[in-house]
Amino acid sequence: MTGDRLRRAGGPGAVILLVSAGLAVLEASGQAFWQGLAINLGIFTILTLALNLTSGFTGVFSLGQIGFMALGAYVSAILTLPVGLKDAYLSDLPDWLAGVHLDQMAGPVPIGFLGATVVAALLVTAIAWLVGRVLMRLSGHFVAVATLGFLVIVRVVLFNADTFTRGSRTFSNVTPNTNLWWVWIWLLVVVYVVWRVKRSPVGREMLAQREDRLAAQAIGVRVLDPRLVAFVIGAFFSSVAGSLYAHFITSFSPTVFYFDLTFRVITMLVIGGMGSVSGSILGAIGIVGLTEVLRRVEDATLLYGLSQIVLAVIFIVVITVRRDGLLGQREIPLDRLFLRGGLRRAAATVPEADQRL
Amino acid sequence: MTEYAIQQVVNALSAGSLYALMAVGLAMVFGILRLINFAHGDLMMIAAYVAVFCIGAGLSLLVSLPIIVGATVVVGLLMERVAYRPIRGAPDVAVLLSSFAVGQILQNGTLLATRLVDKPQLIAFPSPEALSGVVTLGTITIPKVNVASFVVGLLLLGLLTLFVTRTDLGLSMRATAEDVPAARLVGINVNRVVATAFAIGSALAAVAGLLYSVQAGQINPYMGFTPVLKAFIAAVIGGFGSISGAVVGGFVLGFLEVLVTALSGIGDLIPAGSVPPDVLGFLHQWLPAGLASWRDAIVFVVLIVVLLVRPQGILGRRDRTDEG
Amino acid sequence: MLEVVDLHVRYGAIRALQGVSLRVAEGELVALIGSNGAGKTTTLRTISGLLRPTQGSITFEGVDITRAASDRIVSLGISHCPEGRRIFGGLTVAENLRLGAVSRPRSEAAAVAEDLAMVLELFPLLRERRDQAGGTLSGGEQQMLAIGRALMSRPRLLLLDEPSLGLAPLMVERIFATIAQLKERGRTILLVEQNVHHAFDVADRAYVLETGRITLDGPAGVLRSDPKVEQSYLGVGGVAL
Repeated sequence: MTGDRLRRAGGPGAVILLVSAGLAVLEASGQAFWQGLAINLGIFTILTLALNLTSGFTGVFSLGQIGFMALGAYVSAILTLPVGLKDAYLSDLPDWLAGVHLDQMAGPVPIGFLGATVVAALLVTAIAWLVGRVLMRLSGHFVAVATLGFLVIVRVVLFNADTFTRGSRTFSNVTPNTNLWWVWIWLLVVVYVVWRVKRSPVGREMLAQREDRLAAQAIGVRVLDPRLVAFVIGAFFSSVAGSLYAHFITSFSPTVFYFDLTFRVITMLVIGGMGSVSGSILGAIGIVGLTEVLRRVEDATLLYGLSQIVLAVIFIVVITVRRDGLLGQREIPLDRLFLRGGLRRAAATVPEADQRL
Repeated sequence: MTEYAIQQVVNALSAGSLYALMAVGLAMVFGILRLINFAHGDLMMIAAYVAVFCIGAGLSLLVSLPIIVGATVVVGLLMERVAYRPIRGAPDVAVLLSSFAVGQILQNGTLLATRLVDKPQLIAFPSPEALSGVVTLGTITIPKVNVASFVVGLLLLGLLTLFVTRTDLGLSMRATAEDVPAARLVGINVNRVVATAFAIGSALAAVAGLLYSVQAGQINPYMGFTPVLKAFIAAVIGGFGSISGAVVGGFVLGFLEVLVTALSGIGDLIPAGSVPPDVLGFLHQWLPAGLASWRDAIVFVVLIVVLLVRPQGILGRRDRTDEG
Repeated sequence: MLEVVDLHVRYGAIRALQGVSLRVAEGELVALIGSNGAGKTTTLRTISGLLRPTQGSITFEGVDITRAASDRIVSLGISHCPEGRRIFGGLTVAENLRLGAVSRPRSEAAAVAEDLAMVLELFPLLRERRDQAGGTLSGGEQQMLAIGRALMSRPRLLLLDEPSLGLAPLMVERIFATIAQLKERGRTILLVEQNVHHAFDVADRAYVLETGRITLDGPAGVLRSDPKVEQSYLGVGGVAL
C-alpha cells in the first residue's frame, strides 16, 4: 500500500520538481519578459481554477468573480502601502487604517504581503458568504445575471469610495512584492485544494447537482450548501489572485477589473473543460499564450481589437463544436504519467479516469 | 420646484421609452429561445456608427433612417443565423456566454473598423438638426431629443402591439413564446418567428441607439454594454419574456433612475426655512448630492431583490415547468 | 394514406421506438393503444416532425415526410392535437383558432372562414368563449379548443393524442361523441388513447404498442375480444393498467 501511494505521489512530485527547476532557471536567466509571462500565467491559472470551482463544478455560473478579485487587489494594496505613502496618497483614510502597514520583511520574504493577501482574502470570503447565501438560491442564467450585477456594484463602490480607492484615479505605488515564487506557490496551493475538493464528498455533491438538480435533490444531495462552499472558496482564491495581480502590475484603476477580464477567464475555463482541474491549467496556458502572440500581432499591425475577436470566435466555435471543452470533466492522470507506457498510456486511460469520479 | 418635477418626469419618460425599446427586443428573443442576448446592446452601437457614417456623408435624417435600421437588422439577423442557431438547445449558460462572445466580436470589429478608417475610438455624435435644441413650454425647457424619444418610443411600441395582436406572424410569435412544440404542431415555422423577433428587436435597438447617441453626444464601441444591462433589468422587473412586461419594466426603471438622480442633493434645492431643519438634515444625510453616482449600484440591487422576491416580475406568470 | 415503416427513435441512450410499422387508409379511424411509456406519443411526435427517427420511413400520400420540418408536414395535411392539449393559454380562443390555420396561404381566407364556422358549430361553447384567454377555460373546453385548433388547418389526417386524459366522465363521453362525429364526416384519424374501451368503440382498426414495438394489430372488434388485450388493457380478469 505505502509503495503504491508513494508511486502515486511520484507523478505530481516529479511535476512539482520539474516546474520548480524550470522556475529557478527562468529566475536565474533574468529574462524579464518570460518571467512576466510566467507570473501572468500563474495568476490566470489561479483565477480559472477558482472559477472552475465556483462554476465548473456546480454549473452555477458566476460572472462576479472579477469583483472578488478587484476587492482583493484593493484591500491588500491598501494594507501593504507604507505609512509614509499612505499619508501622501490616501490622506483621508480613517485613523484605524492609516496606521496599518503590512510591509514587514522576514529576511527576503515579504511576510507583510502574505498577511495582507490572507486578510484581504478572508474579508472577501466573508462578503462572498453573505452575497452567496442570497444569490445561490437562483438558478440558470439568473445567477449569471445577478452575479454580473454584483460585479457592477463592486465597480460602482470602487469608483465612489475614493477615500480608500482614489476613485477613478489610478491607484499606483503598490509595492512590487509579487514574484515568480509567490505566484507559483499560491498556484500549487490552489491546485491542491481544488483537486481535493473535487475528490471530496462535497465535491461529488457539487458535480451531482450540476448534472441534474432535481434528481440530486431527490436522492438527498444538498443543493445550497455545496454551491455556497464552492462560491466562497472560489472567492477566496480570486481575492488571492487579485492581491498577486495588484502587487505585480503595481498600478491599476477600477476599469481593469471588469468585463474583459471576466470574459477572458471564462474562455479559459470553457475551453479547458468545466469541472476539470487539468483542463483549467491547459485552458489558461493556451489562452495566455495565444493572447501574448495576438498582442504582438496587434502591436505590429496596429489592428487593436483583433485578439478579442479571435478569442471570441474560438469561444463560439468551442461551444458549437465541442461543448465540453478540451477535457470535459476528465483529468490528465498525473499519477500514471511517469509510469511505464508514459504519455501514450496516460492518454488512453483518460476515459477511465472519468469513470472513477 | 414644479418645473423641476415636470422636467424630471419628462426625463423619466424619455429614458423609460429607450429602456422599453431595448427591453422589448431582449424579451421577444428570450420569450422564444430562453436566450439572454447580451449582444443586443451592441446593435445600438452598430446603429450609432452607421448613423455617423450616413450623417457624415451628408444624408438627411429621413434618408439615413432606413439605412441605419436596415444595416442594424442585417447584423441582428446574421448574429442569429451564425452564432445562435447552431447552438439552439445548448444549456442556458452556454448560450448566454456565447452572446457575450458575439458582443466582443461586434465591439472589437467596430474598433478595428474605426482604426482602419483612421477614426478615434470616441467620436462626437453629429446630432441631426431635427433632434437638436430644446422645446420651450412656458417656463419649462426640455431637450427636443427627450420629447422625441418619448414620442417615437410610444409610437413604435404601439405599432409593435398592433403587430403582435393583429397579424398572423405576431400571434405566432406570442404562441411560440408560450410553447415551442405546440407552435410547431400548428404549423408555425419557428425559425421564421425567431428571425422575425431578431429583426424587430434589431430595428427597435437601431432607433434606440440613434436617440441614445443624440442624448449622450458621443459614441464608442463599448457604448452598448450598460444600456443592455439596464434593458435586461427592465425586462426582469416587468417579467422576463413578456413584451408588455418589458415595456412596463422599462418605464419603471426610467422613473427609478430619474428618481435617484432627482433626489440626490434635493436638500440643496429646498429653500431654507420652508421645511423644518430636522427634515432638511435628514435629506442632507440620506440623499446627499453624491447619491446619483451610486445609481447603477442601486438599480442592480433592485434587480437582485426582484429576482429573489418575485422572479416572475410585475406582470409575468410563473414559468411552465413541463416542457413535454 | 399514411405509411410508417420500421420506425426507430432514440432519446439519448433510451430506445423509445424499435421498429414500428403501421398504416392508416383514407377515411379510417385507427387507434394506437398501449401502456404508459410504450411509445405512443413518441410515434405521433415523430410523424409530425417534432422528433427525428434514427431509422425507418414515414410516407404521407406518397410524399416522404421522414425528415420534413413540422410546419411543412402541417401544410401537407397532417394535424396533431397533442397530449395535454397544449393550447396557448395567454391567447384568446379566437386567436388560438386563428393560429390553427396559420400554415394556410392567404388565398384560402374564404375556406378558413368556412372551417371556423364548422369548428364553432361543432363546439358551440367556443363561440361563447371567443374572447376569453385560453388558459381560463376548463379542461374539457381546452380539449375542444385543441381539437378545433387542429381542425383549422383542414387536415386530411388528424392525429389525436389522449383526448380524454384528465377529463370528467361526462366530458369524456362528449369528446368521444365528437370523435365519432368527425369520423362520420369522413375524417381520417389516428387516435392514441389509454381509455381502450372508448377507443375500440370508435375505431375501425387498432395497433397495440408495447415497449417500442407493435405486438398486435387488427380490426377493433377482433382485438377487443383478444384474450391478451382483454387481460392487459380492458381490465377483464385482472387489474387494468
